[in-house]
Amino acid sequence: MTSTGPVQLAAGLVDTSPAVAMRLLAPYLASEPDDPYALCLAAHALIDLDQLERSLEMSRRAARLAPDEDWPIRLQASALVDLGRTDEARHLARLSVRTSPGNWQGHYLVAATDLAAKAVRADSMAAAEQARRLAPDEPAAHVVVGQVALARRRPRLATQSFEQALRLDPDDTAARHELARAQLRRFRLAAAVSGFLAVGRMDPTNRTARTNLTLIVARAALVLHYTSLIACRLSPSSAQGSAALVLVVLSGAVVWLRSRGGPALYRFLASIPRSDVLLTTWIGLLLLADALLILGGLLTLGRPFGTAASGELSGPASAMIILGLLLSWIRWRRIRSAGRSG
Amino acid sequence: MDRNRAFSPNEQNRLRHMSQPLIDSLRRALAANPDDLPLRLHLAGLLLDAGDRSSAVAELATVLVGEPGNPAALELMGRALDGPARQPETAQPDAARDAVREQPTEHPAAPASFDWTAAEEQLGVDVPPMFVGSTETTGEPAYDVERPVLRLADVGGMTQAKQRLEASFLAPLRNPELRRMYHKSLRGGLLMYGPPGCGKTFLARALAGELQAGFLSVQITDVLDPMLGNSEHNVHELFQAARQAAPCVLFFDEVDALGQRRSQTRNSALRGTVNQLLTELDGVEQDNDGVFVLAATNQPWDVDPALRRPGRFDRTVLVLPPDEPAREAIFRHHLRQRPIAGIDTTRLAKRTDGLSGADIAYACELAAEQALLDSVATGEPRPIGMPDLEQALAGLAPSIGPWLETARNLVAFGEDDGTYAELRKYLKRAGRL
Repeated sequence: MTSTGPVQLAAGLVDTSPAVAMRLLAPYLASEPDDPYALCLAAHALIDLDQLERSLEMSRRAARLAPDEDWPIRLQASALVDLGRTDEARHLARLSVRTSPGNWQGHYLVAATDLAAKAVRADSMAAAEQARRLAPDEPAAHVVVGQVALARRRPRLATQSFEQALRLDPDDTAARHELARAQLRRFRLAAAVSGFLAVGRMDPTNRTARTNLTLIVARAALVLHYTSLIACRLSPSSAQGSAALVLVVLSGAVVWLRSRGGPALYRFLASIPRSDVLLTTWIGLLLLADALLILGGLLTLGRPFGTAASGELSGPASAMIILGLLLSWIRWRRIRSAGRSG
Repeated sequence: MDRNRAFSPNEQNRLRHMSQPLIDSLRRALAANPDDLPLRLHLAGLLLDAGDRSSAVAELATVLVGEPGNPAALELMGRALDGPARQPETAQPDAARDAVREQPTEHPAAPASFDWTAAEEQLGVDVPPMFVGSTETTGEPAYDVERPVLRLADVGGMTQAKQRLEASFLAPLRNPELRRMYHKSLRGGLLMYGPPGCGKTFLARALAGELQAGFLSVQITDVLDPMLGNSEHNVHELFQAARQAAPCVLFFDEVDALGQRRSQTRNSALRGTVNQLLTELDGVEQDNDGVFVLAATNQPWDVDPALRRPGRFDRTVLVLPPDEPAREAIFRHHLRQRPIAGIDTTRLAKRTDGLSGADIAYACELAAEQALLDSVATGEPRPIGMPDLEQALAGLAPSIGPWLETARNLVAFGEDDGTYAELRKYLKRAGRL
């Protein structure tokens, strides 16, 4: 496959300005509809422009015109992944490896399609490792090794791979995002939050980072809620003790926010009530219920819960907890499905 | 040296080659000390001698701005404008550009000089050029400078954007005395950003009309060239064309594609183009007086930060989705040449908050399609009515949603250095932050 004129220009723009690349390619393809290289470029641009069916059509035509090339096959597989047709994509990824076994991108695609199909196995890791062996200077090859490792519950290896990708390209937002996910898996909450905030700053078009941050906030709220419940349960005769424990946890959270998140995290938290009403409602309900329980405990002045003033407050508090947990379950499912990977 | 003498083309060329190093060194000296008027006057004289009348006029104009009564400058200016290369005061921009390009060959009918053109015609040969430079192999891009008749008053609504344009651009331009008093420079460009389909290009055209300036719209495809160095050359040519047609608005559409972060691109042609754009914006080698550089982008986050520094695109205007009066105007515009009946544009404008101009245009298109299909089915033409438009709008989601999502991330996670203060305010008002 060769390139000339507008095609060469489009090749330089296809990654960063796919719409412009398409504007260059469309008239060229109208006059040269059988140029497989231009077709592949167009298919690539159309994937980025989310015109997946058209992309698939172009890459299929390119594959027919250049059956020995692996690029059209890989493009088809990529479009199919985005279309949710992961089984076909996995088949094509393997076909691309058979067509061009020395190309790291084919091996990369095998691992990536397995990840997309949630069918990560030992051979997925072998494919990712092979991609890395063939292209040790390519950050994407390290990222895919990390992603497979994370899927196979090996967060330490995943972290190392993402860190290596970032050493190669510190501006690689995919590597930074995945590193933050790995940190989260290793319960390094602070590092994960900083990572997601950095991704949001570097690439505002990345929505997954925001979703993952929301996930962390939701988890933190649940941790706070259960801490206060356990505190109340453990020291029912000393409501002051429970209140003190909850206050310590809250103060710790605020200090941590100040030191790790900075103004960006504050701004993000401040935006949640407007942007995510369901999440705000359930977090609000749970925390209000906790406050009521603690207040009830304080009002009893040392007597156990369920008696006198605490009994009057524990009724609405329990109702709030049930409603809050129900809402959290609904919202949680949505967050988890949206925030897995970047 | 007798400056009144008219030179033959050969003499002109010889003189040009002889004085070029001196001219270059004088230009460098002036770049270091632009207020040195005697030096500038001397340079103008040399340029005139070398036959470069347009550059001489530009230099003399600068001298006369500083010293309006300078007799030597007036005399030289009279000579410069008196020659055959003189251009009519109301010259059309295209003609002006062509004149500049053809200046060396279309030379004075000097009585004593040899008529080379006539001689070549007599011989009947087409003499090829002796040397072919890179510019000749690439071909000169044709840049059309248009003269928009549109005014800002013709743009419906968009009060905020218009006010911002007035404050940052038009007011200093309309009040030269005050501008001088406050030492307000006209250097630098203006970047319009906002969701797609909200009228940035339209506004730029209206601004050019308001300034009674030429309008040169540039797309990335006008600039980029696969040949090494040609993209940079094209950028330079564009600025030259705008300088020649001054006053002129040079408008870079989708500047994020042309001036994208150099860290993001591995494309060396693009990197070089951004560098050339920066050089031209700085006006180090050429004066950008009378050239108003505007740019528009949907993705301000992708624009190279170097382009946003003072003296470049240092002023920004957020072009938001159309407000109610603007939406009404857009509905009227898109329905004006279609058969309509009983259309209440006020009601339509009220219920289309959040839609872009492009969305409204699409809704009108859908409504027209519906009426047409009905007419075909019934065999009787019927006008577009409110139900058609309401039906079209019912199935239409605002196209700016994804942009607003990204804008929210930009404001929430980015540095709060005031760059996006206007956007932050808007998102807060819209309940998205």
